Amino acid sequence: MNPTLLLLLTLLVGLEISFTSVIWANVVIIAIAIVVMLRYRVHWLTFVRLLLIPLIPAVGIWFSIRYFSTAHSVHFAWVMSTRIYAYAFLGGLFNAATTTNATLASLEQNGHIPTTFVYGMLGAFNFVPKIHSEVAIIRASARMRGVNLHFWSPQLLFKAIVAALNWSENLAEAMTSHGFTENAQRTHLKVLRISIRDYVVAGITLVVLQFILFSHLP
Amino acid sequence: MSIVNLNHVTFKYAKDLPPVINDQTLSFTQGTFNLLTGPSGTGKSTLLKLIAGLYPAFTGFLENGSIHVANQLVAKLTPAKRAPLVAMMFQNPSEQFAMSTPREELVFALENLQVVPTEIPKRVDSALAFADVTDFADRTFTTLSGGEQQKVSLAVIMALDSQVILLDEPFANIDPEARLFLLNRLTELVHDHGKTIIVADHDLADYQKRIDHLFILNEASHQVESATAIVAKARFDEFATQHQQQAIALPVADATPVFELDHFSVGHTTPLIQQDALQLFQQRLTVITGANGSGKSTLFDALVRLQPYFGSAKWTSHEIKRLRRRTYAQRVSLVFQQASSQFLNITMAEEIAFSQQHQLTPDWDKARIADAVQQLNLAGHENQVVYSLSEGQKKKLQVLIMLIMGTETLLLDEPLTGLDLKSVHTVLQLLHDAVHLQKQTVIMITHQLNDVAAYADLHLHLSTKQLAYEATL
Repeated sequence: MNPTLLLLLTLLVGLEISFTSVIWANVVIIAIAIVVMLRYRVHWLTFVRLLLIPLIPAVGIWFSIRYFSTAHSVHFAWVMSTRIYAYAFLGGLFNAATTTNATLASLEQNGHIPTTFVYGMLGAFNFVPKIHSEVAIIRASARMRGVNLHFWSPQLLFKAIVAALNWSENLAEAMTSHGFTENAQRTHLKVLRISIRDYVVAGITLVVLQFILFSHLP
Repeated sequence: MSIVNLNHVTFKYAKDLPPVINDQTLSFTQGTFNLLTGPSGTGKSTLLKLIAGLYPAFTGFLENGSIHVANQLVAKLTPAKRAPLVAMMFQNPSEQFAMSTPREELVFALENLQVVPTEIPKRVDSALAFADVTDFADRTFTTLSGGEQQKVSLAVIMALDSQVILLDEPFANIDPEARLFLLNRLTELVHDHGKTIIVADHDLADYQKRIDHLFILNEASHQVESATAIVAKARFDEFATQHQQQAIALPVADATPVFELDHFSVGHTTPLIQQDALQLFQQRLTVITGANGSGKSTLFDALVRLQPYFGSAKWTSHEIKRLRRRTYAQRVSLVFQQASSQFLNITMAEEIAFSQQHQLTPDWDKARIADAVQQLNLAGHENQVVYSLSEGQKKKLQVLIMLIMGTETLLLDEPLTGLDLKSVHTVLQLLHDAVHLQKQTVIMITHQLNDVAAYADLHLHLSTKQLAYEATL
């Protein structure tokens, strides 16, 4: 599916389950996400991570609502726990179905997000490996002066920010030199469109969701 | 016909600072190869960035004058309109690409110029072929060497089809083959495509036969002057005269090794060094020489565990990759090529105090430090922010704070860059004392060879991926 439409759809679904309390809706969302992720051959470790990371908040909220809320509602405890997992799996689905580059390209062309934002983000993502090596250098430099810097050390942060400011300046100059004009018209080698099929799938998803949410299911 | 015109240009980084470029009037003729030289930090980059229209847009303040490229005021053009007129290759190869692969970067540049989509693949392919980068067009930039990245930068400029090509110290971090390849391609662009090239470089080797004009930035007047034939010849001769070699000892049989390499190799994608066997010795001042980009810094990175290596590299009989980083860093330290990597504090006084606080031996007391600060001509800068020191001052401070630490093995990557002759002697004397008085081991990479032989004990030369001891320096 087109990344911009998929992003809107997942946000809309997420928003709707925040304002309703139907356990079945959350369960169906999780199930669909798993099916989609299986289709994209997501690594099994990703599933393990998606199950483990929300575990503490999910269990925590279940107990606090079941035993410490005024209503002691079992139903609402399950709504909240499954909701947390539904959010996590919606994220997993989006992550499996698209890439950062495809999403940003689509946001530029279909979402009409300002190009400055889109290419700023792209540039930043491409700088992540450099940040890793810079942090390694700063830490090595500190060790040679007899100090062990942890990732929360203010000195490490300060040095990393100095480096990042320098890079961002260099990158901005280089992009300008390559003809990039902020928020100006550009052509596109790969023109991205939202297909009718994508609209139909998104429409059906939303209709089915309304059906589940408003048919008095638990 | 002149294509680049500067008319009474005065440029400052801030209104209350002295001008970097002062009342400059200058023009460059279309279809010529121009070389701009001068001491580092005097404004070569600034001048190029002014012509490229990056300054004063990004930083600084144009106090007076105007800059025209192809009769158009560069400052008034949008980047998309400017790129086909003037493009730039930057000094740092890895900091000039927004996208993740060469092909994406070229497409990005052409899309910026609003080239029709059907035209893009054709222009991308021919530009990739011209710069000989087709083979790795779809690899990510992080896996490319500095030389490969500069070739991609040339491909981008080729795709943009810019009339004026500016190069800011483009060969500082690349290997000799890539440098020669790029120089040949640039010459071709001038002769066959009528492009105008302005390159800023302090290394004049290989330029003499290629260029049409030599320009020299005068440090005192902050102005660029066209060199007369006599001056130009003198400059090139100065560069061509081989440094006077002096005899230096070869390692003796019973010396104690500090590092031992065995079937060792290191490199980013392809190996830069492949060494069957080599020993580096304790309590010696060893100098390592070799061409730019041949792998000297990479060797040091491997020795301090900033870069993985293959085979075996031992420090006093311990395999380096198995040692604990924290304790090993107290025994083997590196003076980084990039001075700012060394600094952890804000001011010079804080840096010195920090080293004193953590020093490993009491050899450097307050009086000795004060004396060295005086000798290194750093006195009076105690409260200055380290990042605002000149490159030469940064280098001197860097060496000093690492000497104060008293680490038993000290690796130095180009500690003499940007130093005046007096400072070179002071630094070399300090390093010599570290070896002969404090019994430390010093291994130093340097390009600056004048007078080094008087202080050094051994000379290792790196070429064709091999390190070998030499009897002259």
